[in-house]
Amino acid sequence: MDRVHRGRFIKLTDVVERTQTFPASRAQMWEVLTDPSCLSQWFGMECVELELRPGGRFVFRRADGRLRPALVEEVDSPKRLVFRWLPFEVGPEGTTDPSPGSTVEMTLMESDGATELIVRESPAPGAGSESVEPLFIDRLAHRPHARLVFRA
Amino acid sequence: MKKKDPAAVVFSALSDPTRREVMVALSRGGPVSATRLAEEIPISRQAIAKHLDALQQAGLVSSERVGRETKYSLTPEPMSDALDWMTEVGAEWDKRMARLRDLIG
Repeated sequence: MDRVHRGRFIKLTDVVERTQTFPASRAQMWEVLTDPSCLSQWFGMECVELELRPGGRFVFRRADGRLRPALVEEVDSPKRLVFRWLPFEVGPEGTTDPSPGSTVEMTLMESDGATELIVRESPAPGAGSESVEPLFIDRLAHRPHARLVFRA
Repeated sequence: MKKKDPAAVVFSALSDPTRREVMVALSRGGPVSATRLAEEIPISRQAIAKHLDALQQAGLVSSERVGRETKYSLTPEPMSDALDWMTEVGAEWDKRMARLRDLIG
C-alpha cells in the first residue's frame, strides 16, 4: 500500500535498462557478446548452445547444472541482438520448472572508436513464450547434456 | 498446468494508465464498487469492470459480494514480487557489465 501512495508502482512498468561505454569497436564488442566462450565469461552462466539466428536458441547452464533456455528473436550483426528467456528451466532428465520469462535487447552504438552497449530487459508477455515451450522441452529432453554449437 | 510468469502478468496489468488510475483510486480506501469508481474515473462502468477484471487476474485486486454489489479492494502484494524481479535483474546486469569491463579493459 505504501508503494502505491508514493506512486512507486508506476516505475514498475519500466524495463530494466543499463548503458555502458567500452573502449572497443562495435565489431569487437559483437564478438565478445556472441562468442560462446566470451559470453560464458561475462554472462555468469556457461553458454552450452548458441544458434545465432532468429528462431535459434541460446542455452545457458547454471552452476547447479540446470539449463536456462532462450529463443533468439533478432540478429543484426554487429548492431543488435534480441533474445527471450523462456519461462522455464530444465532440470536433470528433462524435468521443467517455471522461471521468469523476459526479453533481452542488446544494442551497440559506435562513436569515436568507443562503443556503447545498451541492454534492456523487460518481462515478456506470457502467451508467446508458452507457444514454443513444448518444442523446447522436447528438444532439450533428448539432449540433457547439450553440447556447444558454434556459428557456421 | 502452465504457469504464466507472475511478474509479467503484473507488469502487463500495470501497463495501462487507466488501470493505474483504478489502482490509485482503490488505494484511497476500499472496498469500493465499480459504480463508485466510475464516478471518480471518467470512463464507463463497463470499462471499469474490464480493468478490474484484469487487475484481479494479476492478483492486484480482490472482490467481495456486499449485498447486491460487488466491492473491490487493492491487494498490492504482487507488486513487491515485480519489484523483486526488477531488483534481481538489475543486479545481474550490473555484474555482467562489470565483467565485460574486465574482459575488454
